[in-house]
Amino acid sequence: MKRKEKILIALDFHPSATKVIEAGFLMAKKMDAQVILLHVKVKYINYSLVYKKIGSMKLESLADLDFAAHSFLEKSKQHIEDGMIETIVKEGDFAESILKTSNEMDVDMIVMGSLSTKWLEEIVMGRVTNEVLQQTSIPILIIPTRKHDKRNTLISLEVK
Amino acid sequence: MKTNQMKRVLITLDYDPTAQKVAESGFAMAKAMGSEVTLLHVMVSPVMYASAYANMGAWQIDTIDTAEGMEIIQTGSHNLLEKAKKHLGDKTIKTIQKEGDTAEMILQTASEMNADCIVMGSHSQKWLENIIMGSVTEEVLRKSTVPLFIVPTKKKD
Repeated sequence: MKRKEKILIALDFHPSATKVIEAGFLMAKKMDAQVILLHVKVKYINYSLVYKKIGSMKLESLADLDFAAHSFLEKSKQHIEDGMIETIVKEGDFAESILKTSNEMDVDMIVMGSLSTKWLEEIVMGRVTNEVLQQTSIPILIIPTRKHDKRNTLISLEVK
Repeated sequence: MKTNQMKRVLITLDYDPTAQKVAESGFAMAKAMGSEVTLLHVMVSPVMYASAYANMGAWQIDTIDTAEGMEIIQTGSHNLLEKAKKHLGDKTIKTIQKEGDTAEMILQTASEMNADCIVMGSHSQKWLENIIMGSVTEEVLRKSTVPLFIVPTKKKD
């Protein structure tokens, strides 16, 4: 029997998290893949560094993030029951956690938002020397989550 | 449950040996999504090709003469796309050749064809990075308004 494919969705912060989850979920549905939702808890200082450019990144956004993930999961209950969605919360470095989890879980694709790409650029360009990063060979789907995007509802998923 | 489909996928290819992997991964994803596939190759000017691929041996352009060089490049580009299409074994695949700045052409083509996703390799043009101003992948990533599917293409693959 063919092994079921796995898609890891790395959660961004609110409000783009929902969009990233939706895109990843659509992809998973089409591929009949299992979904792993990963939420990396980063320390406040790290958040403020990473998101400095977008202005007011406050700690409460973490709660928003939880809420976004939670409400989506609520809507997708049937899939949880199917065992299609698994949620993981990690604490630490964003990139390292994503890649480590991806390797551990042997995922086939990583889905994430473009606002998290500061570190991604480093992976893509191979600047990061970390062994974990070097060894990743998993395709990454990046969902644009900038505010100025005209087509920001490109992939939308409505659960009724 | 209602979904908006990913109707058109644009796969960008270059002369790097990893292009095959990019084409295969992108195609597999597109098929899973039930999307139309378009293959794109962006041709840069002969001078850049000459310096970029000088070490590659097989792809050697002796002349820097622009007209002649461009002709070789066009043929090479055409062959690359046709080969990839044949390899993927799908006659409905469209192919497009463009000339100009790689990132700009990728974004322009994506916009023209109303693509829902752009597929590209991660290695993207290490040489270009040095020669011009920044990585193509990075630039597309920064400017794209549609999802980007990045296929890791490391040397050891």
